[in-house]
Amino acid sequence: MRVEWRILLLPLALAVLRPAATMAQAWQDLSPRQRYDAMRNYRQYESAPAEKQQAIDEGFERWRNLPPQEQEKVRRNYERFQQLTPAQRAQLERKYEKWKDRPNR
Amino acid sequence: MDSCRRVREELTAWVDGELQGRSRHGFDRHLATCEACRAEAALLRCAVVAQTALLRRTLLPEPSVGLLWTRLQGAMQEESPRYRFLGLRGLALFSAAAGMTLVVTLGTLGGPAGVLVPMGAKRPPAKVQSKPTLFQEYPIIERLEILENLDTVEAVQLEEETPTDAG
Repeated sequence: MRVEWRILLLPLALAVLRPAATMAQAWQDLSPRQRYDAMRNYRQYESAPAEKQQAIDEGFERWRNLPPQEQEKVRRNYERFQQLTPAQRAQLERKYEKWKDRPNR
Repeated sequence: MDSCRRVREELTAWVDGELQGRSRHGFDRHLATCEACRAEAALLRCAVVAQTALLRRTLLPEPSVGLLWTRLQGAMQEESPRYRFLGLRGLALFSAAAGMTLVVTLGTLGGPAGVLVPMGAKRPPAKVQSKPTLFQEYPIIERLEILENLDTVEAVQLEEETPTDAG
């Protein structure tokens, strides 16, 4: 009976542990390629205006607190977003700005 | 006077260094006493020296830098045929290529820090070290709001939007 409970808990444990396993938490754990990407992103962050830096810091806090399923969904959306053409992305961003400003959204 | 005539006949041989032995002794003795013959001998010697110098300059010009370089290259090739390709020209070309590669690499990767930090040879900035995930996930975090609401934004129809814009 005990073994059956463990089997039932296994998918849950995997769901919780997977993001932690795929996402390195320490700089030392990153590969040279990941470090290079992180440094490139840092340069972009550093050159951004203070308001945008603050927005990104807040976004990071929100990202950290998202449930793993939500993070997965956002990742999938990001991949979809990446496949759009520049014109489609710009159109979507304009649409988002209008939608965001709507009072009854 | 007879001895003067004989000495002057031998002047050319004397200048050429061909006068030896007893003839040379008698020649020298006469020159020591005869001022006219001494002057003639000096004049002839000066003329011969000047002519020799002129001939040397005409027939054997002083080697130029280009001529010296050509001779030096020829000598180097004869000395070490195995390393013929490693001339100064090859070294200059190699240095230029290496320099160009370095400039392009550092320019592409964002300077020395862009290379040294990812390789672990230099410490990353404090912010990157404390929050590596932020900069790893930066493209997502930068657009987090729109990505969280992507489905809704795509589905919603704004008033001024035409139906064809929805895709």
